[in-house]
Amino acid sequence: MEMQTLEKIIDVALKNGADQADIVVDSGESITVKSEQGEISSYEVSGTQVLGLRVIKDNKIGSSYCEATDDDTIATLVKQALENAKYSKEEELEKIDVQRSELIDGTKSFKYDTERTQPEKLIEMALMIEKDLMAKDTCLKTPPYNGVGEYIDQSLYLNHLGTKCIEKSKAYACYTAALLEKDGKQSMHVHQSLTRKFQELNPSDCIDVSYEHALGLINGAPVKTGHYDIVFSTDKLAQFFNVFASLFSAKAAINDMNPWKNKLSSIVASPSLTMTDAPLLEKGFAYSMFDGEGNMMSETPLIKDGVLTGFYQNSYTSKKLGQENTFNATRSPKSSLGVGGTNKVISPVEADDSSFNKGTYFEIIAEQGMYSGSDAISGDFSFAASGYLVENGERVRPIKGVTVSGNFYTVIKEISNIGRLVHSNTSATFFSPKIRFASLSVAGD
Amino acid sequence: MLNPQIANDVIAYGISLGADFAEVFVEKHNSTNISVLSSKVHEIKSGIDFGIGIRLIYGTKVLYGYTNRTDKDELLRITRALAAQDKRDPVATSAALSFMKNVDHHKVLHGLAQDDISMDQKIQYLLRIDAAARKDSDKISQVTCGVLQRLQDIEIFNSEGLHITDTRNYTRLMANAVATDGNEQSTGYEAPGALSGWEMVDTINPTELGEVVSKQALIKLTAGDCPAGKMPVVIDNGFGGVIFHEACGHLLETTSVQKKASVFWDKMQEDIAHSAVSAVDDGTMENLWGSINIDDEGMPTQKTQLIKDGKLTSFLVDKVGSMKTGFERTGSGRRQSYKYAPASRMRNTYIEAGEHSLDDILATIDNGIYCKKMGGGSVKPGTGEFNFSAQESYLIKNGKIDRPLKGATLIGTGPEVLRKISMVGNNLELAAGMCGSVSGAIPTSVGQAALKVDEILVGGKA
Repeated sequence: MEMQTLEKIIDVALKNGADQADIVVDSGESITVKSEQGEISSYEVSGTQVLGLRVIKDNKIGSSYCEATDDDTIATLVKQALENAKYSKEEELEKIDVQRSELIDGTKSFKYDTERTQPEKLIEMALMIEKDLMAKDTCLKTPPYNGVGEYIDQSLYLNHLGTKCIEKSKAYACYTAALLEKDGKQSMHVHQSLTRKFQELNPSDCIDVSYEHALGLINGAPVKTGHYDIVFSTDKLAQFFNVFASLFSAKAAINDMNPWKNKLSSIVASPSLTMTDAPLLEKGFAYSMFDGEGNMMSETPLIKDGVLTGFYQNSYTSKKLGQENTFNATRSPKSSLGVGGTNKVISPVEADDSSFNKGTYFEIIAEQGMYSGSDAISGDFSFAASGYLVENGERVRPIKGVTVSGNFYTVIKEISNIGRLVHSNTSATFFSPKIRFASLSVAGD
Repeated sequence: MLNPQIANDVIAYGISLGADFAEVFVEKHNSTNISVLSSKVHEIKSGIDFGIGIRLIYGTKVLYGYTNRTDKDELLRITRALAAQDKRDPVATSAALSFMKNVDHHKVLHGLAQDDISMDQKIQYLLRIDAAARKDSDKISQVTCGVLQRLQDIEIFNSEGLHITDTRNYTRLMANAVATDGNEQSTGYEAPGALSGWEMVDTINPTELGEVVSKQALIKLTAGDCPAGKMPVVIDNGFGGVIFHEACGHLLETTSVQKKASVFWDKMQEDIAHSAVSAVDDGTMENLWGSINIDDEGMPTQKTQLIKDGKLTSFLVDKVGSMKTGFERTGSGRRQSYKYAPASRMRNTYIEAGEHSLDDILATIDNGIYCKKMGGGSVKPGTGEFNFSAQESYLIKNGKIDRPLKGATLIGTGPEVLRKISMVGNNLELAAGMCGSVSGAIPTSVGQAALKVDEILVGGKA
């Protein structure tokens, strides 16, 4: 959408009584290809945009969004935002006040490879992944999930003070699910590769990893009920921290929905844990130059040596709590002003591998129900898990059909060891060494 | 919403490029969401989604594209891009579009289109929930509540000559209470919904709703750790039906069956469950959250008997699923929006009532778990492995409900659990939820009467 059109919408909002206004526009294009039984089963092409308007009138905030951009819809958009503002509570601290004369332009960064990939290449890869996976083992069934995609996204921010920011990114993904059936037992594992350039995709890794764990876990059985040390795969560790991400939210603290509300500068985790939010980490797929209010983003320390050092803040939360703005405002066309993180980085610890691997632990490769089985308020969690029993660094047997439970606020203090090598999750948004949590409750036989 | 001539031209173009089938799906979707937090209006959001999805089918290969634009050139461009790899000489013909009047089975009095309920009235209702949740205990530290209303207009055209429209009104309430005692916190949550306007809200007493979520949060605050291990479990009615939805319902969708990625793909007419189990997926129930007049492929929806006395009697079948498996369509092709190709999905899914009272069922258990209200869950369709969390649960001791528990999770596999359901109660009830799958998040109801599973792995504290 043209900048001029967006400026016009802001003008209309101001002319109709808004004191302040801003707009976010998210647009995207994608091509996704799926294969099944040696043929392309699905091919999708998309091109969409959604526009969100926020107005402030008499200290009251109203917002609305639309996907169509004809004149009637735009008129309705402005009218609805102003109407919604009428019924909102007065909020003197929420302002649209970022004024910047220079455009933040992220359209030509490393995030956006201008070279387009021909659809034939995507199709070829989707068919190849399935074929190469199936060739690994005669006991493999047609992968239920198998495909390749190209995704282009653009975010744009504009306010009545003339602040303008635009950012564009491209990503490619390929994935497959190895579904194995042997001796009446079934096992499935999904793995994906995500890159900014098509030629950097690693379909062989998808095939190898998905097959390795489908095979490795097929004879998995429960372990005896008891307490075990736990080491998550990096993907699952990222997910585990993500479930409790609202602990870093200043907005949740204001809303009395954050149990760490009064814990700033207090010990909340093991002294070996240091965690940072890094929006400008180039290898991170959550790379972002500007936040939802048009501010430049920067690093936010979250936990330092086990002490809670900061919350994600925007202009409103920082004023409300009397703390510094960390420029972590989030806003999508369909959501109101919030706070949130980008790439998470956990610092490695100088330690030798033998100390990390000593004794027995349960290495979690897959889980079910981590989100639905966790309560971000109480910290209690309970989910189904599978993986391997590891003794002195060696996988000795697969584990399946068990549940792992505990309380996040307790386990994060009971970290027995943190590794020295940093790994990335497959989405490249979480960078962490292996973490060994001490003595979690595992229910099995 | 779309000029039929443009739709006709797009379909004809798809067929001229050699597609066996072409479809244009148009959607306009208005929504308003009001939320209350800390006893004040937190936010009011509204918006309009609009877009068009184009589906071409070559053999059993599905090509799908979508856009926000309505101009013919853009729609032809999408069609051309979709067919680029598969175009061939025409093999089918497109029938002339014939508008079919849709029969609306779900009367709506106060939907978004009527616009006859004031914003003030809605806000006052929510504030009554908030006040009720807070009134009985100073341990209730926060309450959030809200109402979401949606108006979805769809229009479907296809190369078989179909031209049909439908309007769907949805209303859903949400109430959430947080209880705090020292460092301990817990939550209570309810979210009733219906395929209806504001009149659904009029049937729910806001005071009672507030009290229910407050009570849930306070009970959990005093709950002890759940024991771990295999034991008998009683799952109560309403949202307890999520067990069947996750563990079995998804495995009966042709989306899984056609790939042989369901453990039930070759079990038609075989015994797959205990003889106490009969299950249904019914899209026709009046004004129910998961009901529809027509599915998102334009077919009138149906009531489908999935399991009868333990025997598998039907899958949930959409157009492509029918082509791939040979089973008749069941009016189950659904999608979240124009951004998704339709897939076979559930509507209102429940296990039919049996004859036992809840007390009768509890009386058969010396040591076990009673799950009064289930939380969310998920399933791996390939293997049928599932998990559920219990939102409110209690220990069963000597046939009676004992102390409240926290942190209970149930895990197992669908086929296993179906065979271990040995008693079904007489208190059938359905509850609203959102189901996420390959064609997005759609409104579905889950339901059952109270039932007993003889043995299930409970994840609690070892």
